[in-house]
Amino acid sequence: MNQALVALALVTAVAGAANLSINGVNRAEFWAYFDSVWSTQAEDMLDLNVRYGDLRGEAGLFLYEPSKPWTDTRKPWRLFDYTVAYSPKQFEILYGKFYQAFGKGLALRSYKDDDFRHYKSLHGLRGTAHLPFQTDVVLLGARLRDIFFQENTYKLMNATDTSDQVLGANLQSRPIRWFGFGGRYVRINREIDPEPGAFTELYGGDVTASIGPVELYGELCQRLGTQAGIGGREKGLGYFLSATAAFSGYSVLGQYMDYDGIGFPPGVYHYNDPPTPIKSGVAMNRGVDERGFGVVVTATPIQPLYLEADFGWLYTHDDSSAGVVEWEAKARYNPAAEWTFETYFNHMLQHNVELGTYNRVVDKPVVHVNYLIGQHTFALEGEVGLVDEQATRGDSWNYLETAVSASYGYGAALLFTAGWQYVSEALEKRYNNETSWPMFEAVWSITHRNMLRVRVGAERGGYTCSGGVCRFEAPFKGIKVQLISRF
Amino acid sequence: MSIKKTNWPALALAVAFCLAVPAFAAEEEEYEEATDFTLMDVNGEEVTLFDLLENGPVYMECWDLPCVNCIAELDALMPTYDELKDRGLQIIALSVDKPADEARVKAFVASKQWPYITLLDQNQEVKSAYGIIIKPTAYLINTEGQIVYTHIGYKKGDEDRIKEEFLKWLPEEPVEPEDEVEETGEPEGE
Repeated sequence: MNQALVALALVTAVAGAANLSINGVNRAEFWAYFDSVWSTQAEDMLDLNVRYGDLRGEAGLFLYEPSKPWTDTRKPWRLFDYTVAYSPKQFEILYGKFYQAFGKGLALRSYKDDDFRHYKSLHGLRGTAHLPFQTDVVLLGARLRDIFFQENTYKLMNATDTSDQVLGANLQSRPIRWFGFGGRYVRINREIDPEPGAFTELYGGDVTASIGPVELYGELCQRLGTQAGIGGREKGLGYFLSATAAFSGYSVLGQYMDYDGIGFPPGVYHYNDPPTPIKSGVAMNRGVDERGFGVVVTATPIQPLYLEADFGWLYTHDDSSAGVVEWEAKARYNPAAEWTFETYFNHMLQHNVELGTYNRVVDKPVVHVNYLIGQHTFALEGEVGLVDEQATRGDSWNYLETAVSASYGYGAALLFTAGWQYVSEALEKRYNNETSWPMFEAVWSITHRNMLRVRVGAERGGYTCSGGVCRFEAPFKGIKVQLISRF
Repeated sequence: MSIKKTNWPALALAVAFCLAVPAFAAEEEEYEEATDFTLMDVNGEEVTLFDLLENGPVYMECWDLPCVNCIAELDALMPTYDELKDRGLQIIALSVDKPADEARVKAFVASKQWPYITLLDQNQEVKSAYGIIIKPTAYLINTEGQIVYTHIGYKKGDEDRIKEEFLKWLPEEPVEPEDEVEETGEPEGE
């Protein structure tokens, strides 16, 4: 590691050499908050990119330093990652950390979600060939590392499986403008598989057809695994279909999916993440036992007006044990350069999605207004969530979740926001018996490459999802300071 | 790979400080080289950044469907783009939505009628190469392939300041389209 840092320093020192470019970004954060006791945590994420002709390298440093007492789930993280690649126009050979999805994610999906703080990376070797007729072939051999932020700490979700090996091959081609196809194979060899012949395979393909304003897509994936302990093959099958009709100013999208046993492994982390039709990103079990559909209609009938309607339905195959339904209607109107109005109504039903919650229905109208006058910008936002909740053991509640915020921005550099979140019922499970969370935030764009954000106060937290992965964010009371720098 | 036996908090702060200070001090004199890339657009065509730069500067904004401010910035830039496109301005809307949302992105862009070049960065490799960790982040790249301006975040009114940056890097007069070149390599009419 020290040698790697010395090498990095040498590269930086000779950065003035012709044709060598170095750039990067650093995110430094400091939190101080009260959670039964006062706690602090410092975090720094540094990403460096180096390029010299067709050679490129990336180095990443991730540091997470929570205050004591440390536990098995709350302890310092100190990670160094690197990537080296040779990337002429026709191909790329890469070794190190990378992210890769095959198709729409039914067979393999690793990704980085900075907003949700979810880093599901692969570490190993990847070769990519760019062939004629818009054809790409990817071959990889790697190991998964799934880091997820929840309950104010980072967790390694595949902590017991870090030596599992992923081998994959993917072909994607679009030889003519109106037709494309793909095929893939993923093999996962797990440390816990007792026999050499015990491994899991995911394979399948996809087809795309574009006919004028209509685009059709279909993807199929089959999983062949080994039943743990007793042996013998276990099978899974999933497919995803989508149809889009897009005209100038209008579009209609329909999606249908059915996943039966392709989510792997069936635990807290997956190598694959099939799509969910739910706009908020909620999934039942990420490909283990789900089927659903979604419809989205969008329109810009006149340029200042945008309309959108969303409907998503996702349930387990028995139609009763667990499911989620969401619909949303939105309108955004810009009558003049100075004004923006946005309003939407969201209805969400979750049935046996959260642990301990049998049913939760939230109806939420939201209004957002933006106004600009000279160097001054003003924004107001308000929402009211009408919640009807039933616990698994029979308790039920009806309450309001409200939030209002007011922002003022001056010029290019400054933005101030004051916000207040409120619930009408003091719930121990969800909100630690608190009902009010005031907050103040200041954002200062120090230069066009550096931004400082300071947030003081409290946050309600709650159940939140992104791309089928969900977590419960605990309420927060304290201060957060964030500095983002590009160089 | 994990690391031990180092005062990592101090090192992290030192690294962050040392890298941030040059960024504060040197931004006016030094321009960073942009990284070339080729991505598919929403119409299934391959687009290469350096090919676009032959026609004029490029303003590339990273966005995704959940990012309300990203979409607001791209909406707000439409009048500026209409005014300056004949002077060579090009705008790339770099979508970093996941592969599962490709159809949603295409449907959204079609209904919005954005005049921009919308590219799909589904594996987020361009996002990573440009060091983008929050959205929106946008870069103005001049015809020399240099990043001459960075814009992080968006609030109403920023589009006027962004326009001032565009005007620094565009010719005064509209750009005439180049004559077609015959196989002999000579422009028509000569």
